[in-house]
Amino acid sequence: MRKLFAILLMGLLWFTLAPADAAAAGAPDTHLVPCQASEAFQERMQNAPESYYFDQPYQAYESNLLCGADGLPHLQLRFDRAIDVVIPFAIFFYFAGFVGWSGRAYLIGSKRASKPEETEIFIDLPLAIRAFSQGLLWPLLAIKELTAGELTVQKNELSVSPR
Amino acid sequence: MQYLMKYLTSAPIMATLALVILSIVMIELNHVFPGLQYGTYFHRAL
Repeated sequence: MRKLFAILLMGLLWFTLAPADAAAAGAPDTHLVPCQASEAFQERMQNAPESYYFDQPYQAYESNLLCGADGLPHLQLRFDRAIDVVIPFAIFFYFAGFVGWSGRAYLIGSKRASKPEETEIFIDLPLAIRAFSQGLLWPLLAIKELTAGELTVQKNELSVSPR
Repeated sequence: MQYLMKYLTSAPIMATLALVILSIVMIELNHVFPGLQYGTYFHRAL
């Protein structure tokens, strides 16, 4: 019931607070301007040291991003620019999952070895390569294990402290 | 040879190797897809 209430509240807040009409009309945000039109940004760009580490990023910001009054690039949370947030998040999420799943697969595999502790100090390369290749498919494997009940331990296997 | 392989597969050596490979991958990614590093690669030009 509490979960249902939380979901309802989330939906309500989303639809009341999100400026849906602005996204539909493609109207630009009121206070963000393209960085090339922002005086504060131009000032920052001119004051930046001339080097590879400043020139290229500033040029990229100038032609691609929107700047606020502080002269720094900001992302807009709008549905028509959702890709700005979704793609970087998806890459991060997949990579984090890949690292976690590979490690988990390696540890599960190493338990079957004759000396499980040793495989943590001296890496078993064939097993590690198998674990990495499993990690690439982690979203599919996670769904498969979740539906088969292998992802988590059974309730009766959980240790419970005495009460 | 056997001992050399055991030494090379020890965790610190493998961790260093993984770090070097990851660095090369990241540098090459930024080279192939310019703007990825600055967070502007997926943006349309304004």
